[in-house]
Amino acid sequence: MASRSKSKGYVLIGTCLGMVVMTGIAGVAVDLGRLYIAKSEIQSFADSAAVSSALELDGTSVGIIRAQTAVTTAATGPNAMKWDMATKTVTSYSVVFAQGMTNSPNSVDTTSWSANPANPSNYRFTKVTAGVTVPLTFMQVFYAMVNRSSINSQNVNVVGTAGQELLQTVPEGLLPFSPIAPDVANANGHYGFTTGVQYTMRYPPPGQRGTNSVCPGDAAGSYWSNLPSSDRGYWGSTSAAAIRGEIIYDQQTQPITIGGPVPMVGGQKTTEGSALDQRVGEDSDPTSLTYAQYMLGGTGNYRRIVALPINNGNDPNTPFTAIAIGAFFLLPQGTYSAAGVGSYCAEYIGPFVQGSSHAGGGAATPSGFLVRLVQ
Amino acid sequence: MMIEFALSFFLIFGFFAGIFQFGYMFYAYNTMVNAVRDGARYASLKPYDSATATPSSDFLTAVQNQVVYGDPSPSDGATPILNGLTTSNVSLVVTPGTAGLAMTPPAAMTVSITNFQINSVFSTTTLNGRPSSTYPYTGVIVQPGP
Repeated sequence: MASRSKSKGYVLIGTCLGMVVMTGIAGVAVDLGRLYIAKSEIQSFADSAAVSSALELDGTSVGIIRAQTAVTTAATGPNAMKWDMATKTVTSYSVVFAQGMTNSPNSVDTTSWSANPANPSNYRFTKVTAGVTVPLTFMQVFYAMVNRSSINSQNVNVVGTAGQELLQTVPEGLLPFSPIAPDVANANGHYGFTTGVQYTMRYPPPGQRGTNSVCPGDAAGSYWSNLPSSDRGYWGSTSAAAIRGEIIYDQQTQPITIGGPVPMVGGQKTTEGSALDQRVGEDSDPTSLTYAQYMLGGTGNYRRIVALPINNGNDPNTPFTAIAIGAFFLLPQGTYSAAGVGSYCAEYIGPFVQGSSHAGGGAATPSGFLVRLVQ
Repeated sequence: MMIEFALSFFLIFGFFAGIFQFGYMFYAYNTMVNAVRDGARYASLKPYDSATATPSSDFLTAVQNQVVYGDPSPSDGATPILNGLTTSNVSLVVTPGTAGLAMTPPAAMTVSITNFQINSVFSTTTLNGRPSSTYPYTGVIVQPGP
């Protein structure tokens, strides 16, 4: 009998120890699993919100406000990304913005992080920090048994960073025109382009390249006199039908690389005026006179916003080299088909950002941008 | 002794079965959270070749393959990231852009898992519409020729 009661005591101790171990195992399986899912879910949210936000940055304080709103929309909008197996709204998040490095534009200048930059020029990066508090179940019991103290939740915090990174090679989406930069040396000032001013896409014939027959923003004089007489501003294919396809359906015929040649082709191809008009007609707002008016109206579907490679003109050493991708705004319907052999003009918006209806945030490096996640 | 063993066996078996079930379910869900995120990111950058909010079959297939196989054009006999997951379980919803005419760039891409049963041996959990991931569309719109 004595030995019987002894082993009874051992069973009790064994059971207690076993329970601690088993609660620990259950805690690892259930609570840790839940924590990992919560982490993945809010990382997804932070990444998506950072991309949405970085798309809106255009170097102005209005852009900063849009970028902040984009994060709120990602958390609470119709397509909000939720956590805890997609059941709860993310409520704790913050967003800060940064510039790129001057000598390495695709890297974040970490000294410039700011929630509300006083001078938003060149701010191209967004960092979204999000956190959730995950309630614990088995871990709570395990912790109480082992440490005799209570812990009932665990914070999970993540960071998602995205930014407008410089496009190097653009295989799709460019129109077959290439405006010449008015001031090639002025890399920190949009290469001489001014927002809201019209520049030439297709040049007039050689005899008509006087100040009055080109577009308002173009530089005069040597800007035109040393162009090859056959060139009219088109690049890529020589086929008029292929160029129509590029204009109407974005069927770019060959990639353009920044720093590489823009292969200019000759011929005035007057029928492309009607192709441009057709392109303008694809827009739900084909009538607004300026980009500012167009955005204020808010009814456009952005087909009039086009991306064009900007070249350095007939430079003696590196003629017609792509130096940037600019966003341009096509003029109202009817303008181009009425232009005859004259200039086709388009309004400069700013550095192009793929997928955005706004200019990019970097006047210091006015090239084309693509929003990417930054690791 | 046998009685105690028999009683505790069912208890312990149930306990471990539960742990296994939760563990596998969480693993499967976490895998899919990451997969739909990758799929949505892929869809947000892929040139969009449809004039409406209904994606072309090539576009849809590539996105579904990205989610299920981690590769938009998987080799024959590729293994899905999760046992039982097929391309029909992946849904792609294209949020149309502003004022819809033809050739309007989409606003966003939402990829989610639909009608998928996580089969964790002892029970099944059906997922419908989650996990889900949305990215703003940042690709270019292209259209088959005139």
